[in-house]
Amino acid sequence: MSAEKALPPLLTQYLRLPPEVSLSLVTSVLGASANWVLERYLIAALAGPSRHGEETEAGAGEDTRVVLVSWMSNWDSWRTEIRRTSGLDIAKLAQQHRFAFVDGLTGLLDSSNHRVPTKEEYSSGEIPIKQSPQSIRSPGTTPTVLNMSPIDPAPRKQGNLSPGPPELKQDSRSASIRRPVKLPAENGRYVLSSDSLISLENTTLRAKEFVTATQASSEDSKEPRVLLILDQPDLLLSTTQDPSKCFPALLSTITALSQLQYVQATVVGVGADPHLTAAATAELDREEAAIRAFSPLESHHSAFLMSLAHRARVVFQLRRLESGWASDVSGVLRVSPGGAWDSGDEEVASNEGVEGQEKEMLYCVKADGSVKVFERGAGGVG
Amino acid sequence: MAPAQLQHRRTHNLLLIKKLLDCRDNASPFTLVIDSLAQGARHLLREVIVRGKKSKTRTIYLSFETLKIPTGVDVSVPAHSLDVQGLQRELSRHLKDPQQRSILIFDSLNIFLHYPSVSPELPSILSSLISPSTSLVAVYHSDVPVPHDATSYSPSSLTLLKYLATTIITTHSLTHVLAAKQARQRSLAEPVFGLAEEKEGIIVGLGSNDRRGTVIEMEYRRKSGRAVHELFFLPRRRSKATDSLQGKGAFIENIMLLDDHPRYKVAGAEGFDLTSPGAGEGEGIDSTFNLGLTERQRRDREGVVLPYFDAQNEGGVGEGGRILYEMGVEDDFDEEEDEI
Repeated sequence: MSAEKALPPLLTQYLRLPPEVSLSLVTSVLGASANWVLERYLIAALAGPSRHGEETEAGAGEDTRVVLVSWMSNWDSWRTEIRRTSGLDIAKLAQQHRFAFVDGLTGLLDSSNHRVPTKEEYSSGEIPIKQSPQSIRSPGTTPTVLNMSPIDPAPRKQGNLSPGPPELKQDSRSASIRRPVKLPAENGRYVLSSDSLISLENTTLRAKEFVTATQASSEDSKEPRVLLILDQPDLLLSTTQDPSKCFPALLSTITALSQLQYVQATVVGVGADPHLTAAATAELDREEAAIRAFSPLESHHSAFLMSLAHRARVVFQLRRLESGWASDVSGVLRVSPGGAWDSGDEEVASNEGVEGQEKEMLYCVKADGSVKVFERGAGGVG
Repeated sequence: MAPAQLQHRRTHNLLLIKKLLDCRDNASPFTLVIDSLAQGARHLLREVIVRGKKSKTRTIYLSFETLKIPTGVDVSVPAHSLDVQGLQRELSRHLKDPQQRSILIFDSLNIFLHYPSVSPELPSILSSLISPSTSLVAVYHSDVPVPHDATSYSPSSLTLLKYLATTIITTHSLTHVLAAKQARQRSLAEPVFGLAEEKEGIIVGLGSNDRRGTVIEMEYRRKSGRAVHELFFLPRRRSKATDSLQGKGAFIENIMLLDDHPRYKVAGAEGFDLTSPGAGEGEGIDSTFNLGLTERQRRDREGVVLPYFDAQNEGGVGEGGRILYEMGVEDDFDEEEDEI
């Protein structure tokens, strides 16, 4: 099957869903895009059951669903790209309630809504959901009460999480009418209406509901596992007017999302270009003067990136080849354990081996979208 | 280093770090753990939790960034979803009983510092949490920038935290420490890893988050103000396999001085020591010459007044040239030469 072929053998061990709730970080630089890694994560999760149809041990054959939130490309480009590389049709998977897509880009800069919620407003839940009630209570999804994961006993915004129609304020109703694209929610496609984090959280929640909705009706007792992919949420930092408010709130939103029920793993793609990490480098060297010289966006982006790296179990770092351009090498991929790789000793004995081992490899993205990943010096063979 | 001195350090400092990690007798009310992506502090925190369990101390874990709370924690507070007031309320609820000894663990101070109004009031917030029965262990990521008001004269948060802390623990990766030591032995520049490499797209260096354990750099401040500085190695615990072998509750003391680590010993030959650089200086140079001085030679050499000191004494500038010569006994005074 071509979906299987799309996964580079060297990477499969890293793309497997981890045994527990965790976060993975994929960093990219200009010229070494992270898109293909996120795609491979998606393909590995969605192609799972057909590949491991027989061997269901170790959770490999379990039902995995994907929620993709993308701030970089829209539905069409993801659909074309994934079909090209793996033969999987995400539209068909969305019909089967196995895939949901949240478009963060299309409605992001809707001029009717430029206000950024502050942290206080955010935590007190003052901001209403900027979606029409119809789309929230779609006929296809069963309105079940949402459960936060047991780790989070006191979820904030309890009111907003309830599936009933939220109270809409005057301005937000007009915002929802002016949404550029209006899609019925049953097809698993959602559009973020603004850059507000509340709408991000709620829309992602509904997308997650959508992919886990079939669970209630199906008779097997196996819990669905959801892979949440966030493609470049750092765009929000640069589009909001007040990044200092946005960055901690965005982090806590990501934390809340990755702790939702059934969400097994979260993959976040973030840019790590030199100017975006420079503030962290200066911080590390304690160059007091240099730290102060950075613009808010620079320092907040690097704080966002480094905070995510500290939360991540594994960090994929993509970069260009140091020696310059080459026709058969697109870049270097380094897989390193992140700050949270070591979350407990229980699984150490079983996992001490391949998984999470640091590794540096070269990769080549070909014109047809396929990717070859190989060790240094092993290229040019095929 | 003299073996007796090493033995002394071994006994004293190991006792000290055990006391600190156990949070016994309120040894250190505020322990600041500074980590980076090179070696995260999670392993160290787990060790504190395990030791807390052993000594029947309650552990309260404030998770700002931890997705999965480590096992063995008594109370976990989802701090990322609370604001400062909510957090303080929640904590005061848990810290009601003054008899109960507790350890308060902050898994990241960086995010906490981003909360509105926290940054300027950090000292008072932290000290309100500390009590004779409660000690604080807080992690600070040294590579995550925190906000700093450029116009104010107040010191940066890290400086403030370092000033407040009674113990500062810095974590290092064993791989990086070994590489640095090897480079020092050859008088090469020490290698840098991760962000410090300043290579495009690299945030985590090779050899980061070493699986073998954590190298701990401890700076303990005594009440007198004198600081004790030492490097330790904390190996990772071998999970369930050992637990079942030893029976539940068995606790193996495993922390050691870094100098006693077999790999570290091999990496550095004799006579070089991180804690007292220059201890072995001047020794071990093999040559046929005697490069040393005897006590008398050294005294004589110190007694020599060099000419430029004399020139500075009187007048100095503009006095013209002078010949300074003191005649020794073996010198023969030549009058004719003097007349020229």
